[in-house]
This record gives sequence, structure tokens and C-alpha cells, in this order.
Amino acid sequence: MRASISKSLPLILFLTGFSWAETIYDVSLDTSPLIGHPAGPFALEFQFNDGSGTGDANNVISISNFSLSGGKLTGPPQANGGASGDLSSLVTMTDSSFFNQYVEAFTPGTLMNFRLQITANVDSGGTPDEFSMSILDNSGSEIPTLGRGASLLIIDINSSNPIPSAFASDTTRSPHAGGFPISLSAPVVTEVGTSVPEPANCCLFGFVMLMLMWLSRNHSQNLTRWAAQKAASPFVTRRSQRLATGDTEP
Amino acid sequence: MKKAFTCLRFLFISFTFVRFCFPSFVNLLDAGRLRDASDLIVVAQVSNIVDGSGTIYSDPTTSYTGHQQTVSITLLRVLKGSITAESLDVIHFIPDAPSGSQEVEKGQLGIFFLSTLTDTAWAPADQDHFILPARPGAPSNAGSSDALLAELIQVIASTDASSTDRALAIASLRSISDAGVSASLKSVLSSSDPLVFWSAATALFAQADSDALSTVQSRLIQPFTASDAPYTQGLQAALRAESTNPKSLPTLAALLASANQEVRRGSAAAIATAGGPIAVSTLPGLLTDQDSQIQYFAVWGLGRTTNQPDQTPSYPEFQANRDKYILYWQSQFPISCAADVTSQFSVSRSGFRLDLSTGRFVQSVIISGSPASKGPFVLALDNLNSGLFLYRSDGTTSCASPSGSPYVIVSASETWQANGTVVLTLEFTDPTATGITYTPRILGGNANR
Repeated sequence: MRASISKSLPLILFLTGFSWAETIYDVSLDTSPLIGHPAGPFALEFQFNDGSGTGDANNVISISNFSLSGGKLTGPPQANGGASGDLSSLVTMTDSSFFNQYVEAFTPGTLMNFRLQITANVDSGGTPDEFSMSILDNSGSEIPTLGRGASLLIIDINSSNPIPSAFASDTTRSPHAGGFPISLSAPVVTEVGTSVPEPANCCLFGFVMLMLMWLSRNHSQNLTRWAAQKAASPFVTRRSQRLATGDTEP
Repeated sequence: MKKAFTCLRFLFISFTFVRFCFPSFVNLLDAGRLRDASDLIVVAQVSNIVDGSGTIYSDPTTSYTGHQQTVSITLLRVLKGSITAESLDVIHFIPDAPSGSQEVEKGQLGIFFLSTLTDTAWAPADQDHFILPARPGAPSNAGSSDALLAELIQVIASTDASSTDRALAIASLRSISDAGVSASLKSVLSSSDPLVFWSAATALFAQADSDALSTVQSRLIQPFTASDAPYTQGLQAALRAESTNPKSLPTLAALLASANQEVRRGSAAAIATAGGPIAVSTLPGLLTDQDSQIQYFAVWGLGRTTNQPDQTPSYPEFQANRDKYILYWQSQFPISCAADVTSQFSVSRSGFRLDLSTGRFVQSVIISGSPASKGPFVLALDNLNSGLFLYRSDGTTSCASPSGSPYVIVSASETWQANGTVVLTLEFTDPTATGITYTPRILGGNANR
């Protein structure tokens, strides 16, 4: 019984929406230092890597409202793993693989803006899912920054309210593609709110969770007796009914 | 004229005998030896060079070709000897075959070490090293009562001098025991120039300077950078010289955890040479080291320390009977493994990001706590997925089960800074991006890991 509950849990969570509150951030980056730099053309790169190492797909990130203030996306987008979409409309990244990446070339304007929505389901095992952002030069290498792995922005999903870390470029190092060092300020990240699960989903989820708790507490009781007593319940499975009536036919 | 020719011929025969019969023989650079070998030491500038001609020596079987050079120098300061002239000629021989013989350039300024050749001509006191770098002005702050040492100290301290000149001056003072020299070398241990830094460090180690050793301890433990690598070749021998200073032994023991093989070998050799209690406490842990030279130092050192000549093999004997010797010493000194002290720390890990420029996944690990146990502390990565590698790991567990876990040094010191936090950046190679999982384990103490 416990095993069957455990196996069906992901499905139940999926059906109920499994949408813990999303945190919403607006991200803004002054890209004017990139204009005319010989290391261009540049590309924007996002990674959303799974902390469990298995691709458990328990978090989703969406990137929307993308603008470049005088610049433009030059594409084509390249999506790997659980990434899909297009920055001109919406990019969605799920940690359904260990490594999930989205890359799209752009011509810089004065300012890059976008909205980031991120679910916050913390992975067990000690290593969180991680979203990161960087800008690539024309060699495909990141512009040097003060962040880990040359990132401009990192968000580790290690709590229900993940805290972004933003980094400026490293002005002591030239881009791999050449040219003088680039002086980018750290992106400005503003938390603009959270979205909560739909009320209907909340009710359904709460009901299912209560059922699971109740089942878990009583799993040692006689299954036949339970099934017989609850035969009228719409939640009793056909298999339970068979067990109650002694019907062993598959 | 005849006398000059005789002298030249004698000098040349001597020179060619040494140079060509023992082509690998090059005198060590040593300012003290040069000073003793010289009749005249001057700071001077090369004003002119005239090349001589032709084959100048042959024996019954072979003819050696080369040419004579007359180097005219203008004297600035006299450091040893007496001369009234303002300039003089140095007869210098340049063999055609590469020999390591020092050559000069017009305009070159330096300290010239000369011996009398004729009444009017001088010869290099040492064919390999007859010029050391100098600065144009006399030393304003002597640094040493010895005029020669003061000149060289001035070069070391001069940030206008080239790295090569400063390193040459440092190297020439390696065997000189002088307070001024020692202070000068220590003053450049903070230099960002790797050539100058490593030259000074190895010179001080060779003088068994324990203060210098502890000053650069962390740099010796951390993996050398690419810019360090060319200058660390002589570290092993230099560290071994520290064995003569008891004050250096605790630092040498800590350096056994270094990420650099040269440092570990040098430290093991020094402790094995020093013997005593520190050898007995540290060498058994090296018997299962992955490096066979370090294993040998452990065997050899334990044999010497306990006065068991039959268990103190030469290196070839050890290589032929490695298991026999190691098993013997393991039975004499049962090894204890490093303790699992993970519960005394808090370990917090970030997620992973692929660094596209290196192709490696990067993760931060924050380790904090107030451990009751003694260090050094390492972070071992247990059950790391097969096919993945921890880039630049400091070793692999072989004693503290589970074995085969790569580890990195968290703190090389025995004492953990109170309520201290260490942030590590781990890099993993995961060519197929299959996912990285592991269980962190912290091992404490100097015992085998």
C-alpha cells in the first residue's frame, strides 16, 4: 500500500498542479559597454541545472517580457535538455535533465530587461537546482565576471524564497575572443512578487494530502475490512473492491 | 708577448679540458666562491667587444673551434683588489659548441669577477659566471658590510631591475649566510613576480630558514599555478635542506598534505633525513602513498630513525622488493586512518554551472563550524558518479573507508579558525552531462586518508 502511494505521488502532485508559489523577479542589465566591442557578436546564455543529478523536473523557470532597448535578438535560439521557447515570447526551462541550457544571440542595446518566474521546490540531497545567466562572446566563452563559472546571475533553489546573487564583469580580464576588458555592472534583480497556486488546485491538493496522511496512518489495518467499509466511496479503487469481495481475477 | 701566449694557452687548455671532456659540468653560481676565486671584482660597463678569430685548440683526435673575445670595460666601482686604470680588457673565450659559457653585450652593466692574465689583460675568474647584475648607482643603503653583497642586495631590492637580473642575484647568494642577505630575500617573498618569489623561497629553504618556510606554507600547499610551474623544479632539494633546522619540522609535516608532488617529496625527504619523533609520527602514514618516491622516503626514514640497516634499502633495492619493505614497516607502525569529523561541520553546497570556457561544472561548497578535532581537514567526495572526475583533487582516500574518494584540502593547518568558514570551488569533468552526485565527508587529522 505504501509503495503504491509512493509511486502514485508524482502523478497526484502533477494532477493537482504541483505549483508551489512562484517567485517573480525583474532583471535589468546595462548592456551599453557591449555596444561595438570587438568580442561581439554576443549571445545570452541561461542554464538551469538539476541538483538531484537525475533530472527530476520538479522546478520550472520562465523568462518573459524580454527587451533590449535599442538592441535586437538575432537568434536562432538553441535549447538543450528541458529548455524550450523563444525569448521574443516566452522561454521555459525545466530541470528535466541534469544540464538544461538556452542560448540566443543578440545585438546589444543600452539595457536588457526580462522577467523571471521561478518555482521553489527544494531538492533533497543537499545540492539545489541552480539557474544561472551569462553573456557569451563570439568564441562561445563567457565574458569574464566575478561570479562562479563566469556567471552574471545565480539563483540556487535552496529555500521557498531563493535569493539571487548578481555579479559584475571582471574588469581585469579580457574576453576570450579578444579586445579590452568589459565593464558590466552586476544585473539589478528586483523581486516583484509571488504567484500562488489556483484556489481549486489548493483545495484538491489539500484534500489529497489529507487522504495520504490518513492512509499512511492506517496502512497497517486490515485492507479487506477497510475496502468493505468504504465500498460506497468514489475513491475506492476497483482493485480494492476485488480484494474486498475475494475476487482475485486480474 | 710570449708570456701572454703561454698563459692564454694554459687557460684555454684548462678551459677546454673541463668544457669538452666534461660537457655537462657547469660551475654552480655562488657569489662567495666567485669572490674567493677573483683577483679583481669591479662594477663596470662593457664599452667595446672585439671578436678574435679561428680555431684555437686541437688535440690529436679532435679539433675544437671557437673564438677569442676582447671585452673592454669601463670601471665604475672596485669591490675587491686594486686598480688605478679607468678601463681594462678582459680576454674571453667563446667556444662554437654550446657550453653554457657566459657571453656579454656592449653596454652591459655588471659586477665582473676577474683573475690576472697578463700585466695588462684580465681573464674571467669563472668561465660560466663572470658577470653578475649590478645597478648603476652605488648602494645607498648598504644592507651588508660586505661591498659585494651590498651590490647584489641592491639588485634584489630594485623593482627597476629585470626579473632575470633579480633572480640571478638571488641565486648567487644561496649559499651565503648573512643577516643582510637573509633580510633581503625575505623582503621579496611578497613579490608578485613568480621568478623572483621562487628564487628567493628556494634560496631561503636551502639555508634552512624556518621563518621563510612558514611564511610561504599556504602557497606551497595550494596547487601551483601555471605561472609557478616553471620555477619549482628545485624545490625538492631545497626543502630537504630544511631538515637541518628543527624549527622547520612542524611546517614540513604540514606540507605533506600539499597538492604539489615536488613539495610532498621534498617534505618527506626532509623528515626522513631529520629522523626523530616527527619521523616516527608522520612517515608510517606515507607507506601507502600513491607516489613510490614518497613511499621510499618513508621506508628509508623509518629504517634510519630506528637504526635497522637491513630494513633501510637503497632505492633500487626498494623498487625490487617494495611490498616486503612496506609490509614490514606497516607491521612495526600500524597505521591509523584519518577520522570522519563531518558531524563537527556544516556543509552547504551550491548548484552546478557549466563553465563553457573550461568545459567543467563548477560548484561552491561552504564549510563552517567549530570542530573539536585537530586538522588538517579535507573534504572527501564519496560515491561520486563513475566517469566523473574532480578536477585538481588533492588526493584519493585509501585508508579512511570508503576508499577511492577524491578529496580536496579544506584547511592545511591543525587549528581551525574559531567559527571559521571556508569556501571551496569544486570543478568536475562530466563530458556527457549525466549528472553529478556525491556525499560530502570531512576527514580530520594527519593520519592516512
